[in-house]
Amino acid sequence: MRSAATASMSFEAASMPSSRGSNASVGATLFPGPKLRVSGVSKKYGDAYALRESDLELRQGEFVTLLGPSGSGKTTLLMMIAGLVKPTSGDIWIDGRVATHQQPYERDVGMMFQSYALFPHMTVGENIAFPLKMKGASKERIRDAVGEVLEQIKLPSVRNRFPSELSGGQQQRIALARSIVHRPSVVLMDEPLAALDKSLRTHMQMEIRQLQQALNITVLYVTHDQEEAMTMSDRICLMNEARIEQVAAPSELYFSPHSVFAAGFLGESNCLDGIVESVEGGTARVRHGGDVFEGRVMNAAKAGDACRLMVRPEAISMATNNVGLVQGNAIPADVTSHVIGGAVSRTTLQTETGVLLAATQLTARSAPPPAGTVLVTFSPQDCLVFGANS
Amino acid sequence: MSTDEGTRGRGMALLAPALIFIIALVLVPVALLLFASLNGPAGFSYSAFARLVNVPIYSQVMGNSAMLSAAAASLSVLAAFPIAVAISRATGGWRQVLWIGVLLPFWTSFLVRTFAWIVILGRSGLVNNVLMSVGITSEPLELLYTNLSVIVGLVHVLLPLAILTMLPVIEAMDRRLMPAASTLGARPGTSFFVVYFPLCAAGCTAAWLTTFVSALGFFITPALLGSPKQTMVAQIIIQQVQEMMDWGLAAALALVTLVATLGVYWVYDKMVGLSSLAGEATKSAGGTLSRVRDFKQAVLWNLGRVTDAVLRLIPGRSSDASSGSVPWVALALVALMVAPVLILIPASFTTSAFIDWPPQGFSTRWYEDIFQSPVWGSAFWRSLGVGATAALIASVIGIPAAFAFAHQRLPVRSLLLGLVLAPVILPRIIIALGLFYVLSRVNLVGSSLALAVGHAALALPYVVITVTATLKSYDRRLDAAASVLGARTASRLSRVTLPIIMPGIVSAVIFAFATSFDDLTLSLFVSGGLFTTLPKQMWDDALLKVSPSLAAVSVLLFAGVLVVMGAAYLARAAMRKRRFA
Repeated sequence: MRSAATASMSFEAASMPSSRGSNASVGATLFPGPKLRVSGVSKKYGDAYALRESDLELRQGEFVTLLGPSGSGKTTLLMMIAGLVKPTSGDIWIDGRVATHQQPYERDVGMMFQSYALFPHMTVGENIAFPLKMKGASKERIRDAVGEVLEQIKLPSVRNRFPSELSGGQQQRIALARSIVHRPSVVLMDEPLAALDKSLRTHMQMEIRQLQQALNITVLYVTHDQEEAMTMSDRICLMNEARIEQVAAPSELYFSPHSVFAAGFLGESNCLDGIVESVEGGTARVRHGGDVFEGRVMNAAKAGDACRLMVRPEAISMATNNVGLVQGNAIPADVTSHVIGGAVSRTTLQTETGVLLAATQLTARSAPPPAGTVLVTFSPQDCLVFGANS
Repeated sequence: MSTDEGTRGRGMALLAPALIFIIALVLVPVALLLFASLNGPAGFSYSAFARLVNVPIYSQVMGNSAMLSAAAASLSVLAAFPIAVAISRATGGWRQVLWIGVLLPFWTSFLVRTFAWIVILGRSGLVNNVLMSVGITSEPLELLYTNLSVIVGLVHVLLPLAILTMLPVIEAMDRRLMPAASTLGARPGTSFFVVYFPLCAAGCTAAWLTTFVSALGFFITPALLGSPKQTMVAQIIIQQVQEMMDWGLAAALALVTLVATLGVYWVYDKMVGLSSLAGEATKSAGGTLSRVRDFKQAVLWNLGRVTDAVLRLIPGRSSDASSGSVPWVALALVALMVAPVLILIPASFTTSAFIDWPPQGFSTRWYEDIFQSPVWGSAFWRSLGVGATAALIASVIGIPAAFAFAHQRLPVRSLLLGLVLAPVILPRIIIALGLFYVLSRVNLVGSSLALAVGHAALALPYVVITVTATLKSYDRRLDAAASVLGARTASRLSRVTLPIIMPGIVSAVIFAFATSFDDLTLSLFVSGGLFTTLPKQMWDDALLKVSPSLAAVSVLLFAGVLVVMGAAYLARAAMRKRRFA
């Protein structure tokens, strides 16, 4: 499933991909369309695709994350938008201007690197002033803008220090300030928090997000940390094997993944393989062993297809008796272990068909730990059906 | 372990042999030499210094030396910079090619590299031959025995050293800085002058300093490629000692050279900081006057703007920012560095008794001569023996010192490091002269062992630098793991540490051997009249005439370098394969 590439035709006509450079500009910053538009962009190294033809759009003030395992093409895409890598095909629009053939320094972007990439021989103030200086801003304007952004990142007093005199977290904030101070159309962030420890990372996530919302900045963020992506993003662009799997808001991606990969990459999923018996509306009946389950069809699965059922561990209930009262999907299973992992307890079960399942529940003092043979139940709404050809 | 109270003692114990060695063989002799400069026929006198001041030829020679060295060092740095940048950016095959192109000349004897220029620049040499056959000139130009030929020869000899000195600083730079500057709106010229160049500057000045100081002590190049007008101070020192037996004047000249060297280091330390010489990143420029800093920055920003303005006028600039393109400029420079030595190969197969271009006919007679000559044979075996002994001594003393520098906490660490590195920090002629002065007092001149010990002192810094660098990348938790698993110190060293750092030790030993095998400065004084080393034999021959047999010896030496480099490469490849199999 590709992203919603819903460009208006008039926009297409106004700036043809063939026209190079800044003379293709449309309405400059007042341009009402997407801040960033990626259309049919791909990158090939020899015969290998680093990224297959992909489409993506970012609206003003949106925080979009490229999420995926290493080698999924997310950094390649970011580098192409920055102009540091040339696309093999496709076009990139930044703020309504075709930027495909522009040099990085001609593009209206800001970028935050994983290694900070602060200039070690310049003071913090000089680092932050750098992009403003490149834009030819006046001395007064630079002084004010640097002061203002240092206030915003809560480091007002480090202006004359050198990066090496600051902590890792402080350097990170300076890198953030440097990437936004010149108010670029899009700020690109390449795993900027990967080098920080967990607590500092959580803190910085909040801070970047707050600043982004307060200043209404458009951000494209790269990470392989799904929790980080879920926490920070308006939308997540999930990538796998050099292509975009799905672009959606975090909750949609979590509850309605469009592929087995998406369901497996975000959070945890139990899998049951089966055969589709019938499809009616959006609901399929699936046979697994001697049982039949109902679930939501997530892709083009039809009767007779092999398919995979996926259920989140927290969607599973365990019933010890009153078997007859259970409605919806149910399958008997033996409890093999039960662990209290803190706020959440985790039960491992094995069905009579030999499949291992995990179920999680909030830990409760009063509840007796499940044991022996139980009936595993889950609602059809929580059961996702993926045709094997997906 | 490293926080033990006893650690400091252990570090000093490991370091002690090296310190004693350097103090006894470098510091004390140089000090005695300096006393000698004040020792006239009737006791204490300034007469040697008075002569230095009063006889114009000496101040002329010193001025000459400084001028030639400065010019050669500056040109070396200029040529080294694009090569070093290309090496730091190249990947895979091109990186290998460039490295070989730098190391091949680096390992090739000074003498061999200098002979090559005689073949190229001589009256009937390659350049004149080409110019005349094309018809640009009708008679041969006087290219040899000029300032030009000396500077070309010096640059050729110094270039690999300049590259190897600046490369660590350039490679240590964060590769993301240039893309970062670019995404922040900096055009290529501004990126280079405002970001890239200031961060390379420490490496470039270190390279200048290193090449300048070593050039100050050179005598081979000016003697073979220059006329009396290009005489450098080391030549006068040698002449005074060997022909005039005037120790006082030689010592006084050495003292002046030493003071000049230390003066240059002092200025450098004030401006850049000496730590950058060891490839360590310099401190931020916070210490420098802000007005000076502002001025420097303004200059660099303007240079960047001007460059960008010029670049904008040039259409079809390279558009792909990604690396992987062929480093043509660096390849051309490296080819220029390697080619002169290759010229000697055809020259060595001539039938003529002179080195002319083009070589006449084809014969192997010069090779047969060498292999039948007892003089060349004994010189070769003596060099081999002295080299092996020197390498052994330098390793035994230098490796523990490297452990001390890499793994132990030492008081006044940088001072101790400077002391151990003294033989490469000071011009070699001064150290050689000091050693000769002491050895001649105790009648050890002409002893192979004395020569080997002297060479070991010259080679010690290379062993310490190489092994320390290897140990820095050694994971010390492996030591802890071995200890916890029951290994005592001896078995931990022999079964864990040494096998892992073996490549570094092997390079250190090769380095030490090559230092001895290639040395002429010390051999010139210390090896006696009857027994000579290979470089000494070559030098004595060259002073008479640069003949085809010298070209043949050079080619054999070059072939030896090729074999050793090839073997080292194969050994490393095999080791890597085994480790990651």
